[in-house]
Amino acid sequence: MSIGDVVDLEYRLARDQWDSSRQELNERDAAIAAEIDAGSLDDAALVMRWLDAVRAQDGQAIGRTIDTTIETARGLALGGGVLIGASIVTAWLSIESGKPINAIHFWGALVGLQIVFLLLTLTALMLPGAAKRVLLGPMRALAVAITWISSRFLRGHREAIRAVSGMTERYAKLYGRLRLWLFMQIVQFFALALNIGIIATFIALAIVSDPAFGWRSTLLSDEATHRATQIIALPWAWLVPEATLTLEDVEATRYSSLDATFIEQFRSRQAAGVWAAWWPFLLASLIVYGLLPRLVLATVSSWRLSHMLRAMPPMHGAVIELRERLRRPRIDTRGVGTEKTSPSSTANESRMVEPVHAESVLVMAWSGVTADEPTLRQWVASRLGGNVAAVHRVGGIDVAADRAALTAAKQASANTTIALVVEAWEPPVGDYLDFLQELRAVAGPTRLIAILLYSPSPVQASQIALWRSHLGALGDPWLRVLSLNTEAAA
Amino acid sequence: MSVPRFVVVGHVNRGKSSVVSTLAADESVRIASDAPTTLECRTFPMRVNDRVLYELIDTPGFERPRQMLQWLREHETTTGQRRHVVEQFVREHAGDPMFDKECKLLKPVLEGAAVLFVVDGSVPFTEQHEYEMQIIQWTGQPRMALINMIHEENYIDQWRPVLDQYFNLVHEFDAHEASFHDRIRLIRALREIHKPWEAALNEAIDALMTERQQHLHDAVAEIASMLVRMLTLVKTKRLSAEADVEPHKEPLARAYFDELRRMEARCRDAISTIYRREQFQVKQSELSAAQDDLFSQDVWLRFGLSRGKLAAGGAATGAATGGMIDAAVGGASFLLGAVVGGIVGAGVGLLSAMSLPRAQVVGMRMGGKELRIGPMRNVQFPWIVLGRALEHHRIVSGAPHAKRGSVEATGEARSAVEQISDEHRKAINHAFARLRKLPDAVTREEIQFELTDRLKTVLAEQEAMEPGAEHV
Repeated sequence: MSIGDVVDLEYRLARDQWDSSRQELNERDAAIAAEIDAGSLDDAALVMRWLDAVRAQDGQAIGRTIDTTIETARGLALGGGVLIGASIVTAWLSIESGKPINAIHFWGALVGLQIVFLLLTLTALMLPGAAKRVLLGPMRALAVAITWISSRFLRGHREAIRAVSGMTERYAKLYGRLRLWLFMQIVQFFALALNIGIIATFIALAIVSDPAFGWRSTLLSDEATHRATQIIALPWAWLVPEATLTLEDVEATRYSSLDATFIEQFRSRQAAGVWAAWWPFLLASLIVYGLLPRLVLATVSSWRLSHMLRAMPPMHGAVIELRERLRRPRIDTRGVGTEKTSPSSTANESRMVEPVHAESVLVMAWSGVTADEPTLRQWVASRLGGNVAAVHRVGGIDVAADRAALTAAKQASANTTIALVVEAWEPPVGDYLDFLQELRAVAGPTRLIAILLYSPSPVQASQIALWRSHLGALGDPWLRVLSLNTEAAA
Repeated sequence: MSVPRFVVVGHVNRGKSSVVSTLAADESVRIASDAPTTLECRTFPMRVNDRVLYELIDTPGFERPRQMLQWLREHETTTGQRRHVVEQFVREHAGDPMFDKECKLLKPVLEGAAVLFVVDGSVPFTEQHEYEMQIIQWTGQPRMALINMIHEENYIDQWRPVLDQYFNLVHEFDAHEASFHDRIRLIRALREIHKPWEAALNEAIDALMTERQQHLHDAVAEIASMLVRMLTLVKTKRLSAEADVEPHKEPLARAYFDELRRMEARCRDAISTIYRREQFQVKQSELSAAQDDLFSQDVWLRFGLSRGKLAAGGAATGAATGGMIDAAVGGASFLLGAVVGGIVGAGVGLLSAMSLPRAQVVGMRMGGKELRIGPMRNVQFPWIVLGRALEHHRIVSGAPHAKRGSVEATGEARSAVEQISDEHRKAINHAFARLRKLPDAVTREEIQFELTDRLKTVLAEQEAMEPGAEHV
């Protein structure tokens, strides 16, 4: 994972948390999990592949911008370091003052200061929390400044940058060390390049010109200065003895601006090459105390950074939630497609409620109506009035009974009403409707047919409405749908 | 191995779609008690990672079973040839509008699907149903009868002897009241009607149990998120140094409580979506800002913690603080610190339970003043909110998908939070106390995850205690 990936991840997790419902996330991530074959991936690869998929969906590339910015910062640190180092040394060694360059000043500025910064950095890294925060305060300020500047220049990504800024603050516990080592790496790259610039220019100028180094001090004796150079040269004296100074060199290169014979001394000694005795020592100092530690720190910070990025993403709550979503089995029990709706009809429904006063009734009880014949006679007579001529059982598996009933209907007198008793709880399915049509065909178009809904318990209004609605679609003006006397039935 | 397929058949309007809706946890299935609603067969595949473990097929039901059976009998040669006669019927009537529904529902059966024959146990058995049973019997396919109960009346005793003759297994399943456990039990029962499908159905049961856990997790995560947001909600209004604050207090307080209500509504919508119950309404009174409404004895009893438990929560915190004093003096106080701390804590707990936040003026560094309301310090408030959320969750997660319309959530005699064990209650109380201190965002997130885990355990334990859970 790159830092841009981490930023992208946190930005999208934060956005998910605020902008999407859990169900939306579940559905989106279920689809992604299927696409990336989530079951075959380890956690890190899973999150990375998810991130790629989400980036492809939303097309936002804030992470890539961050990575480019970091690469640019690294490049600027390297280029700027070399340029600044070269400029410092060129400026220092090119001044023609007619005096030798004070080696103590040169060493102090280009080596001594670096040792101080190095010690401060190492101390900051080893200190516990609070003290570390004080020492690393400038780094935080720099991060805030970078955020502010990038939000001004990258207008298209302003909200994203702010989100990332908020994220790094929120997750300082998690990403604080990552931020630290990134900053450390860039700083060490700069310092390394600075030393390369200094050393390269130092060598180049030593080759093409003849810088003269001497020293002067009110307090230091020749012996003390020599001892100091010996201590400084300890790391390389055994390997490169030429890069050390003898007491004679130290004595010979000492000068004083108050000395009246100074100019002559300087010119004669310069001719003798004595003044060049310091530069191997200074070069070795730059390499050992400047270049090498920065090389080590740059390597360590790069290694730590890449090590941390390899361990990304951190399994904090939101990432664990994401992982769980991606690892979930995708379970779906819902139906395929949508249902067709049934058209309802109320045609001619109003005629079906008209009361019936029959003179004579031919009763047909549909299969399932369990009431016995005397009971049926009593119920129908009380509901429709008139005389019950006969009771037929219809709708059974035996078609002969149906034929007999239809024949009776055909032969019935003109003033006979036909009552078809059916179970109120059953809807009028095809078997009923077919029989009803046959009945109408034999009974004639103007014969009154009353559908009487029967139920052991009171017939419900919804049952009557259902029958009226269905039979209304037949457009038969001589059809009535009524409930049988439910009190009698009960 | 073929995918287990179950064709849900039966008389028109006898609850086939209700059974399918509940079994498939699908609210899109049209159900109407007063009209036949299913016109075409519709498939409900149970998919795990795009692999189909079983399929339910909803059908329109028989339209002309009597005429079909008459045809079959007319064409019957020997008992062994009955299935072929059914096949012949479907072949000959394919495209015939008269037997369109019969052909559609029998086609998957003749292709190898098992039959779930749904009857309504709340209406009497009649001869008409027997025609359908006979036709299904003629297909020779594995079959189970499901006794669904649409109304209050009970005719199961009439149905049982008949169904036992025609079906391998008879199972009672009230699609409008069935719990998740009932649903699982039914799928377990399906394994019995055709052994080769047992492995696939076992896998499906495991997946459904996993899905249930996922839903539970997502739901409690929503509840935890809501609690965290509610308890850390602060509303402010910046005013000039000379401005009169009084006219701004009431609107700010109203905005604060409106926001609390919106948070609760969002959480409830999210939970409904998780359980795919968007069309099922749980009617619950609004979270009231009025002191008398929110903290009435009735609301406390139905949704919140009892005064005794609230005092106990405060006492525990006070005693812990007092105990630290005892420890500091090396026990020289003879535990007086803990005792006094406990009494004071209990008192503070009860007192703070009676008050709601009010808008207050806070000074600003750069001049001017700020009117601020929140966070909610009332110790009873999160318990009432949690109680309401658990009640809502109980109804939504428990109602089968065939149950439509709305349900009134009035709370129970003993509130949902009162049923939480002491151990869990203390941990939740501790999380509430931490939130009241307005911790940083990372700590809030940590508390939210802790609350999610804790509530998940609480609900899982409560669900395990539900009637019927032990048999699943």
